[in-house]
Amino acid sequence: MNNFFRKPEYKILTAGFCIMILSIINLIFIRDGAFFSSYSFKQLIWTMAAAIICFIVLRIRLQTLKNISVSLYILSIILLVFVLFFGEKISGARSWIKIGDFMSFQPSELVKISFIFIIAKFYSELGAYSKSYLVKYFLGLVFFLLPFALIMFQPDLGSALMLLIVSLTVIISFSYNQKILIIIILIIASLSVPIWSYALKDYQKERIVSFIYPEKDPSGYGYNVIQSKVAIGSGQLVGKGLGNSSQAKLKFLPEKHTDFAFSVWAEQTGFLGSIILIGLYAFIVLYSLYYLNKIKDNFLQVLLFGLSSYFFFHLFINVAMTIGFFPVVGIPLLMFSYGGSSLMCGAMALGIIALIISEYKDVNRLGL
Amino acid sequence: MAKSERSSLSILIVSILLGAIFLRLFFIQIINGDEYNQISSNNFLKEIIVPAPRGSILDRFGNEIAVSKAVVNLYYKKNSKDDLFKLKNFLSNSLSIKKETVDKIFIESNLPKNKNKRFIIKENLKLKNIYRVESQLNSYQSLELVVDYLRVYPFEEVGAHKFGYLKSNDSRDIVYGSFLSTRIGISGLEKIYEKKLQGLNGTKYLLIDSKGREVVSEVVSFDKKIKANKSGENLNTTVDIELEKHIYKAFGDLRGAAVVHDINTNEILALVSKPSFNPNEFSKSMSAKKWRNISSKPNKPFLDRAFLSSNPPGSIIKIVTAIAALEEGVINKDTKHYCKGYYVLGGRKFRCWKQGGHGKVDVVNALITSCDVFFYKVGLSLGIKDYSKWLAFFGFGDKTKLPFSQNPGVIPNKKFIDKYLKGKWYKGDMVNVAIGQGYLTVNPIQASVMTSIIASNGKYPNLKIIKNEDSIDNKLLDINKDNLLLVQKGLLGVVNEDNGTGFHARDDGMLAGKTGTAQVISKDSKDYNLGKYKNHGWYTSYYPFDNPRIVITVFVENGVSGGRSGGPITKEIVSYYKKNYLTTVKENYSSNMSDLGE
Repeated sequence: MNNFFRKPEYKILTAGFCIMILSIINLIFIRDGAFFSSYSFKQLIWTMAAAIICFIVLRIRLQTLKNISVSLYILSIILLVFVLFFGEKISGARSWIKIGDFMSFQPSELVKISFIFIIAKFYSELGAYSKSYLVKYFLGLVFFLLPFALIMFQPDLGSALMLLIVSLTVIISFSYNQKILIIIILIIASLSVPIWSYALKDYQKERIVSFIYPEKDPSGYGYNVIQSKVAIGSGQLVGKGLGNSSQAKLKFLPEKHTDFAFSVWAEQTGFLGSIILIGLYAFIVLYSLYYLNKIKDNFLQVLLFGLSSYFFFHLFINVAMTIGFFPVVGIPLLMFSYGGSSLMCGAMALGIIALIISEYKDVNRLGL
Repeated sequence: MAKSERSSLSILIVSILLGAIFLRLFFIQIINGDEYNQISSNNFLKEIIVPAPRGSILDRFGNEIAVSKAVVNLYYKKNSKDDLFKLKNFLSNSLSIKKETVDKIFIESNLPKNKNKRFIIKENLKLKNIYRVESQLNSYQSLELVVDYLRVYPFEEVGAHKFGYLKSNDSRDIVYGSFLSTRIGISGLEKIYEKKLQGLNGTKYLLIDSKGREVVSEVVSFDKKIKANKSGENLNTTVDIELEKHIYKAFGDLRGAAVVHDINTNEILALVSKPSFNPNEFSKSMSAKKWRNISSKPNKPFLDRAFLSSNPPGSIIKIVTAIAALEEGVINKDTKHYCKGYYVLGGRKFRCWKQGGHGKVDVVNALITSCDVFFYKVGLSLGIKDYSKWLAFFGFGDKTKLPFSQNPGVIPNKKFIDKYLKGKWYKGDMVNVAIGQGYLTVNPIQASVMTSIIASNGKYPNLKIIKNEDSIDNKLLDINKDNLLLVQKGLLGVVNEDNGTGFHARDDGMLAGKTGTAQVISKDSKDYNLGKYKNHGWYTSYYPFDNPRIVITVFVENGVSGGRSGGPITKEIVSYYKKNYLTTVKENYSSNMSDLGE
């Protein structure tokens, strides 16, 4: 009954909830209509739900996490199939399951976490230092390809890309082999031409082109990046002040509450505000990575690594996207961008990270 | 990968990537922040130019001679969000603007140097077109309606030379390209009083959203200053534009100039030069072809004949010859010379205009009949040194203080003789100059000054054309009153005696003046006084004789003779003056007089 002895990992939780509060503040000052139908109000409800999820996760026994891995993965796959047939189509992608009038859920968010779970489970059973790389890659590929293909069918390029990056990071770092890595790189390189020619849709190609030359078409796809840079840059050191995001309010900035929420924040709070927000994420990621080699359990180790890369890549790619480092692919800033699914999954991941670290600390404290 | 390696390596990678973001944010927000802030402001602040009207030019009674009329113009500023094909169709269908014209503007606006420039699509939109465009302003962000001011000259050609006109294609405004209201005056009073007349354009900023729609509810702090526009000041002239119109009409088909000024106030009442041009043509854009067409007309409509055409004065100069001779003691009121119709000098015959001659004449009669022989003889006795001195006293060879460009003409003084005649001055030259031919040229305004001096008993008039402008006190020429009276009597006789040459203007017996006919020299004697070799006519006068108020000078180019061509015009001017000034305005006039302390 170590639940009773467990001391919650306050630092991680505090950082996470700070992000959520900043998110609500950011959304409040976009002022997009009556409060009760606004994004900020909905996000507030989601945050409360996230707090409950987090609280529940913190009560779970670690062994249970391992046990639910397979069912979580299967549930995610079922939801992904379900959404393809019954999902709500929003901006070209059939990726939403509608729950009532108020809420909708994005299964592609959940699958990112459940993939980490299932990889953690199978890798830990194989042994973290097992030399059976081929088996590991094969397993990884199988677990990855199925949801990846389903997401691509929706099609949701952003989620698919995020799944790809997180999966590759986890697979490669836990089954590191130079030869195989080189082969993978070669395969990807040789596939890139046919992918470009046949698999990518025109609008996706245009986005990539406009990423490389945003000024080529300043009012088309490059427009978003330019306006985002203008928003961030015009924030200068301390920002224009909360509520003064002219870029967002006057609708120069697209997707201001989701993909470009960071730009709005940076415009309002400047360099200092941006650093504070990024610092909170950096703390979560680096703090988790700091404990990585202290965790003895292979399952928890893969899980912790996977979840921290889940946080990190959302942060990195989203921010990189807003400052013109990365093509605009529709990846939200986890827990900061508006959106229930990513907030719930983020809170879940946050809870699990806190759970793993506090468990380690307890074990150390009790000398077990 | 070893266990500890994984942790530290991932921390390292994460730190490097976060560091890159940190640097990028630092670069965008701190180093380039100002620039992005500027872009952001330009994003949502739309600069609107608020043109300022130019001040009006008014005549002495407040009639508008040049006035700025508000017009609505349609501008184009490149905006890549607009569908150019649809826009072109809209412009050609609704406003019937040629597609080629629109294409030309589109191409121009694509040039990098024209990045922020507005192009005028159509000037002076009709009301129904304003409505049509206004309803489409939300669909086409590149269209802009701007109130501008068009310079209008209601009296068109009348007096155009001195009022001037605006430079037709002014590109001082880099944003709007050609703004009508910023055009500057490049001739006449429009140029001279440019600073006073020119208004100051204002700017205001509209808060707009990404669709270019005006946002009123949102208040975003910004530090761009709103600049109010400032209208130009009015210019009150002393001119009577209705009188000028009257004179312009009276000229009929004749070319020439007329000057009317008030002896007591030195105010110019009328300055007319004909042929003239329509200054309204310059207020809008003028094509090079049109300009060539106007400017190359053979009768030189742009030449202000009142100031810039300098011609031999003919017999009107006998006024100065007489005064000079009387003052220098060469003659007195009783001196008589015999005119037999010609005068022989060094074997050469110098004719009097009247065949058979005038017989015995004194100075008064010589003026009345304009006897050439009398003045040949007087001129020879006077000599060029004293004569040119008196010519200079009367203002010849010099410019008046009026602000216009002037051709001062030439007088045969020592400087001139030394420079152009190698210091040689013959008696033949002297007799010619004494009757206003040869090496002496004057312009109409100088002739008026001369007559004014006679009429006012020696006051040199400091003419002015702007109301309330300080005028320097008149310089009084030291001329004997009796001598002046002799000439005045002569001038009265010119108009009113039976043998006077100025009878064409005879009316109520109160006009005094002098006619003059300047010979236009042709190489072939059979052209004499024909076509462009017709003589120029002068008629300079003052009215009324007993209490002189105005001086009138009429100069007619190729007008046969001064009396015949200038007389009727002078008569018209006098009758207009009598009708409009001496009856209704009389009281007003005398109260003005006392205000001025004269």
